[in-house]
Amino acid sequence: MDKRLEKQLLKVQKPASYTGGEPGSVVKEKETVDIRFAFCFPDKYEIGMSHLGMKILYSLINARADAWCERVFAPQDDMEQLMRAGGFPLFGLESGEPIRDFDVIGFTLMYELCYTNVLNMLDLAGLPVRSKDRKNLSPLVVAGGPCVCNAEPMADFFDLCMLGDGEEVMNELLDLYKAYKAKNASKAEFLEAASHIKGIYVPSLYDVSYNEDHTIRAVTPLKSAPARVEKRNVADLDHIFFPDNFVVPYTEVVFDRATHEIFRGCIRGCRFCQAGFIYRPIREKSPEVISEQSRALCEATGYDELSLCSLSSSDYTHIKELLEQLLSWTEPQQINIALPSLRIDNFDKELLDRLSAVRKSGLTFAAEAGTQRLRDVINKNITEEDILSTSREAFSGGRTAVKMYFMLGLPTETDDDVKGIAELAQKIVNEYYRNPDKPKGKGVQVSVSASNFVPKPFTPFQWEPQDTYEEFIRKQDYLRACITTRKAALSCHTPKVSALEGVFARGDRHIGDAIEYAWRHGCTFDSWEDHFDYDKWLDAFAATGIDPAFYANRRRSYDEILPWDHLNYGIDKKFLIREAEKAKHAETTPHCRIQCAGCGANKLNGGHCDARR
Amino acid sequence: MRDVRLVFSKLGLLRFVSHLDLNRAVLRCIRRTDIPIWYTEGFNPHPYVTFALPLPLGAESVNDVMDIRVVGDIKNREIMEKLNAVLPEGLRITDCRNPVNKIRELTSAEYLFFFSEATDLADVKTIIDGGALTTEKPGKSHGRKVMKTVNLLEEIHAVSFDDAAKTMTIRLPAGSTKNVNPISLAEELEKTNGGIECALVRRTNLYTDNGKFI
Repeated sequence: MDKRLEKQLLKVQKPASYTGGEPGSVVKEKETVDIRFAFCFPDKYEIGMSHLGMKILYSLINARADAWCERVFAPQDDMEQLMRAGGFPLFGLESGEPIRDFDVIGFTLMYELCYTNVLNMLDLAGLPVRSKDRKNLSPLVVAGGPCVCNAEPMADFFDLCMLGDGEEVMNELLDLYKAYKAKNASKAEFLEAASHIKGIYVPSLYDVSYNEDHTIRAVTPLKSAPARVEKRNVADLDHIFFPDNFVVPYTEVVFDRATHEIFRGCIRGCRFCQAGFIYRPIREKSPEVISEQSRALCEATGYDELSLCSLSSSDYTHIKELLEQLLSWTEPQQINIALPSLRIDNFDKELLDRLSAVRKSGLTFAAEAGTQRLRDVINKNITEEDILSTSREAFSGGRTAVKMYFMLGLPTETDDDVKGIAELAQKIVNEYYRNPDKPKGKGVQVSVSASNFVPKPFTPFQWEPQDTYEEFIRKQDYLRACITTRKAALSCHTPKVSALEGVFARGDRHIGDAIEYAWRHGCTFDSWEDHFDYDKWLDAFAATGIDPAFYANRRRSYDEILPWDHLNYGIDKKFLIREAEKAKHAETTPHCRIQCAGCGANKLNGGHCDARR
Repeated sequence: MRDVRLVFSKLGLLRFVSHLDLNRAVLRCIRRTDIPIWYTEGFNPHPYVTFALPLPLGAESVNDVMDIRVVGDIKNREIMEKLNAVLPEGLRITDCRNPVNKIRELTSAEYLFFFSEATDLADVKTIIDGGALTTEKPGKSHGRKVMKTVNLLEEIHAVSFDDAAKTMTIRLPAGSTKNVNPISLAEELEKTNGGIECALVRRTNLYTDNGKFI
């Protein structure tokens, strides 16, 4: 870091998040590497340092002798002011050197509302934000993460996007970059070659034309780019790279622990859930490999907590074997195991008792909808009896708090469904008082959290209109009025944020203009309440001629060309249409292990799917 | 079971790591070794580590002290070597010994202030000799949070200046009963006279009433 900036560092909050040097961070001799990579996380250090994907790719790139990967996070306001006032460009934490001189700048897009931070970070680095204004091969600006499944709103800013699993495609990209850099190739030459790597999407190689009603007429590949870009799929998690060390932060971050992904994909097929579709097919890692790698990781980092992560963890087929293997070394070493999304109903009691971290955590239900009819619409295969019996068991075990997650604005929702949320909360409260062993003098607390549904690409609801801001407010007010017990506390997400997410999630390339306009007028850190300024966004849409309702609140027809149709995540559109139609009739689809629904994702895996072993 | 006193230095960019963060980092580093550390027996067992005197954010230290508790047979030299193998850059164990003083006996600390080339040390001397330099710090009065005004120079155990090196060595009250924050002192010096620029503060020694803290 520049010594003059270092001198002023005590003026900012959490200065240690800008210094690097944490245990596990990698410092190389820059003269010895061919590729310098800036891994940018467009949010605060405390969020980015909790992200497993970044840890994997950081270690993977640094495992190469020819490359050095450094971390970069979005500086907070106080730091940004110091940097802009003193003319200090954005730097990598490991070397303290400006990232504009690096070879590759990679962003991970976890969430739509971090988009302005991407632009702000490029600007702080001293680079033009638009791809076409960066003429040279380096720095190459790339992106990955779940949001690139509809990269179109950010298409004008990135040189290329990596779709799907990053472990293999990252190395292929760096090999190609190294070869093209060595022969002094132009950026255009490189991008065309990169578009031939499976999983790499070069937005500038696709021309988008529009109909008069602003819908898309055609997406035409240019030069030799493929017509559709298929996401990358790692077939075998046991043999794919996994880090043997993490950077262990000094300052407190959101998730400060060893983390291991036990499987990718999900068998459930909840119709609102994008993650449940874009990470298909399901691929499990074997208990032996998880246990062995986790042990090495805990020894290298000194962490005393190990978190097993995945979507719907209880669907892991060898959960008992895995926990037994893990506990054999975690118990003597005083390491806690956390299983954040475990269903406790069908679980070995003795094993559960040995998981102290699970004991401590609260009971949470993601019921998502208040009535059985609506739960069937969204294919959330959980019944009221499931919820009540699990609550009963938890209450008899001495618990007094239950957390429940719901969504407002789901397709086909009526006021009865909204009211159903309040009724379900009341039934849980009643269940508590029916329990003869309830703790004396202690009340029950049911926390009801209602978020707002945002239709997402690659889900059966991708054609659905989102509720308007006014409708969300009305439903929230109605729900508040329906909750009469003081034992249930309601918290609602702000619909303004959801409305903006709704525009970005299914946006096309026009949205990029609004993102740039909003950023130039002061929008950053939009996912943080203290920064979010909805009026500025409305100004940005007005100034760039964008009607947010066209993107968020419009029902699309099945034959409309969607902005992400040229990206192939392995999910057949016909399957999504089948699911969308079943949803309209409140018809459920059994999960993948009961019956294959024919989503098509097994084709990514050479026809193989772990759910049908 | 015995207590072991680790003498350490915390230098460079590590001065931006707060006391609590350092504490957590050291716990994890100990867990990375096979030192037979004693675990606390509470609800959340963790290695037993106590720092003699928290260091304010922004200051470096040498001859700083933390105590750990070990069980079983291990030599002091071995503890030092094992820890140094895993500690991050900027953090080093320089000695490992059996404690003599108790931590509560600690009453003062010596600091080395480095001033910039442009600073006239005579300006610093004038302020120090004046014996009065106040700062506001958060405190409590009748259970309410209030800002309290304190005189940083009320009690100076010793002070000396090195004109050639542009440094000041000053010994100030430290410990649980009365403690002067050297970073506040540096900030107030700069505020009082715009010509003063303090480049770095380093804590160099810890003292009891009867001499060096050992």
